[in-house]
Amino acid sequence: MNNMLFSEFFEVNKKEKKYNKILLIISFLIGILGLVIIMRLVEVSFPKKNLIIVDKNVIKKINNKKRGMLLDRNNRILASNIYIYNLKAYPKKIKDPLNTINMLSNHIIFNNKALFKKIKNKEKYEVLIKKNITAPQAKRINNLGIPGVEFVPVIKRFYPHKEITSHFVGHVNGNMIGQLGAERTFNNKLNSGEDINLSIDIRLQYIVRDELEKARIKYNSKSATAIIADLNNGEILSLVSLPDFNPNQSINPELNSYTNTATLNLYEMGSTFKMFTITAALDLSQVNLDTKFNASKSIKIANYEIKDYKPQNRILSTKEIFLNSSNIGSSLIALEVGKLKLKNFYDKIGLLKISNINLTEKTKPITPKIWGKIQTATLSYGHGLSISPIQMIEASSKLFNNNLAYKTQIHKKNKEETIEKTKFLSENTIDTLKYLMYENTLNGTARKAKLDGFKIGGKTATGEKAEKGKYDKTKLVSSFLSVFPIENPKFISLVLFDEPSLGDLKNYREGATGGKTAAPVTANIYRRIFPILGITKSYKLGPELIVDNKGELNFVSY
Amino acid sequence: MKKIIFFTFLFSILLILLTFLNYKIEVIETKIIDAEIVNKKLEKDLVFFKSEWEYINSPENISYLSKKYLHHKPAELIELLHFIKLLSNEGQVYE
Repeated sequence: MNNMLFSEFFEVNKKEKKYNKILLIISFLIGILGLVIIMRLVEVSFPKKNLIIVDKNVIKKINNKKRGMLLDRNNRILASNIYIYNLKAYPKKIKDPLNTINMLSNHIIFNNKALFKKIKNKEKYEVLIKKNITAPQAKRINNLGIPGVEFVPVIKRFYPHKEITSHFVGHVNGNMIGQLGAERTFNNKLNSGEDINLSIDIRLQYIVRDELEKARIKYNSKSATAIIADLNNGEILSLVSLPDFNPNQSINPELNSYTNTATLNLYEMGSTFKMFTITAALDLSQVNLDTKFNASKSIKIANYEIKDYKPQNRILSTKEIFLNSSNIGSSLIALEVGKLKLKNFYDKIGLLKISNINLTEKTKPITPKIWGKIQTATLSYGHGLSISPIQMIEASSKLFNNNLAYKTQIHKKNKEETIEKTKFLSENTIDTLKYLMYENTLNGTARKAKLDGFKIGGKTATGEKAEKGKYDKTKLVSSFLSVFPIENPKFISLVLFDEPSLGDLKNYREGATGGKTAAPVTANIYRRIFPILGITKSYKLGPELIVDNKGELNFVSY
Repeated sequence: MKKIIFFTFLFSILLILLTFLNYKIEVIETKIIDAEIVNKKLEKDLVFFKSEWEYINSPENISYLSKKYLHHKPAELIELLHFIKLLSNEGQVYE
């Protein structure tokens, strides 16, 4: 009996223990579950500031919208992105339209009546009050706390140097897509956020534009162009095309000011071509500086008569032909060289091809369809072939840096970027050419470009514009191409005026020739840019005096 | 049985730890995003100030201001003779 009771008791105890264990496990699991739920509740209820408002996509969007900056060769900003604000009104939220307008009109100018009409109309969701409000102005208006009025930030491309860099830097459209100049050339790189250093120096650009604009007004010319390039690497240090425009304001591409005259306009350049003709003849050893040509009378080829601007009426040497800019002499040299050789030479230096500058705005040259005896003669002094000013720079650069693999660039080149050397002219030819260019500024047509203490070489040109199949003597294209320092050329420049006039005179004989217009302007530019470029004056006196007084001097540089 | 309890316990602890970890990550992410926003804002401000500085400091403005207030002429190299006169205290002579 006792045994039975014990066994029953143990069995009950066992069952109880089993239930207790199950209960313990269940309560433990429920406990853990409760803890997890509490933890989650704590996590959820904790304030996650900003996470609700801004997520990662927003940040990505901000990043993607950033267009790279355009900088000059010394890292000065030429184009950047700034925030401006558009002020909008939400009529449904405005209770007192009159008061709203009164408050706003103290800070911004707008058409009060028209706006009142618009914001009174409760059916309209939003009304644009004013565009392009600057941040400080927006802050002042925002502080007024006007209900129903809101600022919408908009990214805008900003060009701090306004007109000065207009054609070179270009501009973007409303969708931040480059439309002109470097903005267009480097559009993809800029849109991926990359900053780009362009080749220009803003200090030079300002000076060149300043002098060119003064001269354009003085000579009352239709347009004016100036280019300065580095002969060693093809970088454009300054490119000015006038008239120009302010890229910060709304732009009308139909206006003349939108055209980049340096790369788009085609001109029959005139006498600068004599430089090419004589170089070709010298290099082919067909002439030397003393070779004589009969320039005593005009020459007739078929029905075409070739005359000189200032007839010398005598036999001229090659040197005299260059210094007196004789068309007759140049034609005779070209005929001596021969049409095929001359054509090949022009082709080699790129006069017959489109410019290789990395700007998208450029024009193909107008080349003669037939290249006969007349064309050979007239092309020798720059008639019958229309090229852009940038092509003139490119072709001339090839002579002075003696390199055919030369490419003109609007961006600053990397130091590692090497330029392939493909010499094509003899050293003797280049030296002779340099001598002729230098002599021309001393005793030739470019005397007005002479600067005391500096050695500049140059060639003037005065081309007549062709209209209705005839050359018009009152419509000139006057230019001056120069190289400096001439002993060891580092830079090349071209200044060109389209239809300039000297006072009331507007004819070829007494008028605005390259020597009278472009040459003195070039000298004015050089006077101001040489200190920046580090071109030093060669003094006639020795430097002893400067050294003796060194201790008392304070040099200022800016 | 003991094993089940042990693993359930371990699993729960792991779950709690994960919850904590998740929370910490979110807090750090929030901080990173905050920092990025501030950074972007500062970058934008910097570009604005740089642009403003570039505009104020442009050669055109500097030239205008120096002409108006300091009566300065554009920088150019002076002749040696003028330089000698300057050294011998004969005053400003160059144009």
